Amino acid sequence: MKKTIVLVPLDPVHDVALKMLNRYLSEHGHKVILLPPDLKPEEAVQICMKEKPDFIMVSRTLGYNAAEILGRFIDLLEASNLRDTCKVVVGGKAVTPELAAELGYDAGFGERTEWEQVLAYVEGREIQEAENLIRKRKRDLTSGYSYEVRDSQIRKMLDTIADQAIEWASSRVTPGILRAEIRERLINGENVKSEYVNLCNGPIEQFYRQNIIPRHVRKISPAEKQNLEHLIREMRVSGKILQLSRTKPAVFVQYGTGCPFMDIVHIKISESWGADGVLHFDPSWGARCEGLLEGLLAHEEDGSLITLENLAIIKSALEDYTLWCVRAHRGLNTPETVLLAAKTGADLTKINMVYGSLNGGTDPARLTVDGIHALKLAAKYSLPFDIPTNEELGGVPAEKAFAGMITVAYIGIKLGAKPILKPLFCHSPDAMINGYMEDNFVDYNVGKILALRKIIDAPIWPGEPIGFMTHSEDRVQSAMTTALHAALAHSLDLEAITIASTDEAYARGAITVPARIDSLRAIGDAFRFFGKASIEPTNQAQTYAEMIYARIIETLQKVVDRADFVASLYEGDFGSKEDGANPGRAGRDTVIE
Amino acid sequence: MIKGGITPLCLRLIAEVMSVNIREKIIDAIDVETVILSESEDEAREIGLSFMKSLGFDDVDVVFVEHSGFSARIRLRTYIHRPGDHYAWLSTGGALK
Repeated sequence: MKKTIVLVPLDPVHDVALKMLNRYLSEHGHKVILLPPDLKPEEAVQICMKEKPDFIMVSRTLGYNAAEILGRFIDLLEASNLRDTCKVVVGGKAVTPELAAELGYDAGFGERTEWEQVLAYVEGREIQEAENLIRKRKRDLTSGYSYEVRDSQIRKMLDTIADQAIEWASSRVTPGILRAEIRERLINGENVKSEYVNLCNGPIEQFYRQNIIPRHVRKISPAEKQNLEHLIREMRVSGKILQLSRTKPAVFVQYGTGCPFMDIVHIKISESWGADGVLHFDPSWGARCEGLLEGLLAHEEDGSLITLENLAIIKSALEDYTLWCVRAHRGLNTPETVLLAAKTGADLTKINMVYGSLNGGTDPARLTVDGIHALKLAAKYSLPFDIPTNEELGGVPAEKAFAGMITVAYIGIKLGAKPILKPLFCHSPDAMINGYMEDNFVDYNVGKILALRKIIDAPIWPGEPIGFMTHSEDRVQSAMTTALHAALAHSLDLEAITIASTDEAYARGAITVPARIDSLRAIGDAFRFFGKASIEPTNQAQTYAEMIYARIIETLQKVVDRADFVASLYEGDFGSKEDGANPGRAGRDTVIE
Repeated sequence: MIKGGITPLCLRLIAEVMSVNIREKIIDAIDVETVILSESEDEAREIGLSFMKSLGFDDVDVVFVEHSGFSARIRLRTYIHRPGDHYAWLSTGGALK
């Protein structure tokens, strides 16, 4: 029902908020009378008597004498019998509901008020309802993509490579695959623990057989767990939305402090400051061991251990809209990690046999067999998987890393899974050596995206994280460069980004919570600054795109000619030792034909 | 000297007063960010570390320091809780109350 509202700027100059409110309420069909600033309270009351409004909304910047003026205004309204016929509201930067009540107003709206909240108040709806209107929703990053390979020449090459790799892996098995199968039986309640332990080695085997806790690992007590669960129940997350004019990109934070409890605090604070998703980062040594530990475990160094219990408690703390990715891309536990991710309710996983074997330390043959099995699990459990290309950080040129990424994506598509391409937005060694970023950081990154889009219709999620090798220990610089890379992804309408904290370049201690907020805050402002506007690359971006595209074809052709995907990994077709890629050794000679 | 007019003694007192319950409220670390009048980055680093130690913080690191002209922008950090610790904010289970 249409309401009459008089807006009263009881302030010498500050009436911008009321002008905005005037537009908003008018657009929603209400009759609004905006008075000029610096009227005497008596003059404003005279006008109100004439208009007979349903609401009088006063704006005042709190400061010298403000409380007295606001109090006098209420007294005048009472004396004019207006106080009983309309609701009187005060708004301003430092206004709180408590202060408004103290001054005799019906409601007060402070600095962070959404116009929708004021509208809800005017229309007699619950404010809670207004909050629900802007409630965050969980997104499907793969929605709307056909996964069509646009270039027939590339499609033919990918068919050849993928068919050969799948066929080769189909007659092979590994301890990693066998453990994943046993794990599923364990989850289903079967008593097959000893079979599992027989397939473990090193510190994992010692853990199960001799109850030796690996170095820097500690068991979390039931009392600590109980206290954490209590704390989680008390945590209220506002569900801040960073993207205003556009819905993309979803902003992911990578956690892995070592301790699942500290991770949960990082996650909850990141959610509060606008993160849309989180990624689980595990310790590198875990990837080189056969088997996963069990129980609630803290790790005093980087990376949080993957156990069923750790993942389950992290999942229990997530908001329902938060996307959760558990990475499985590079170690000896790849299939089992995908299984645990699925069983604990993850939305996404991460698999890349090329990166994992060339820069992640795992033997190429082993990871090819494990990776293909993991892709089948990702398909079975409807877990989209992202494909990182962090081998670029070791010096591998983007085109070789991309050839590997596209190959893994295509194998995944053939197996029924949904890939997400993950190019790096970074100042890579290859870009430095070849001077691709001498003038700016825009063109080469845009060139990467254009090249990928020319090849395949698939979601793109730069990471991990964006701006890699552009960060320093200065938090302002670090937040700035992350925000600019985020703005570039925003401008290119990419699906998601993974961001660094401003402690990214600080290596002497754990990432702190304020460092998470720094980056999220900066990104929110970058998105606000650009809105629907875009960053304009130079013509050089197209030149880079064509160069990358042509070199991806060259790389794929070599792999086709070699006719052996695993041999291509060992022999450097996807990145050579000279490039900075080194076939891993973990799990060598463990593939069983 | 440190800009801002707060003496180390004053800050130490604040820290002492805060220590009654600060461990239950601070999640991980305290960063102190300021500008120090100094002739070099090394001098600023030395002053900053001594300052933090004068407040009673032993585990202190210089996260960032950059000298320009006659002063250095510096950020110092002390961890109250590192990942894997027994967190005081968890021991009560009611840190948000």
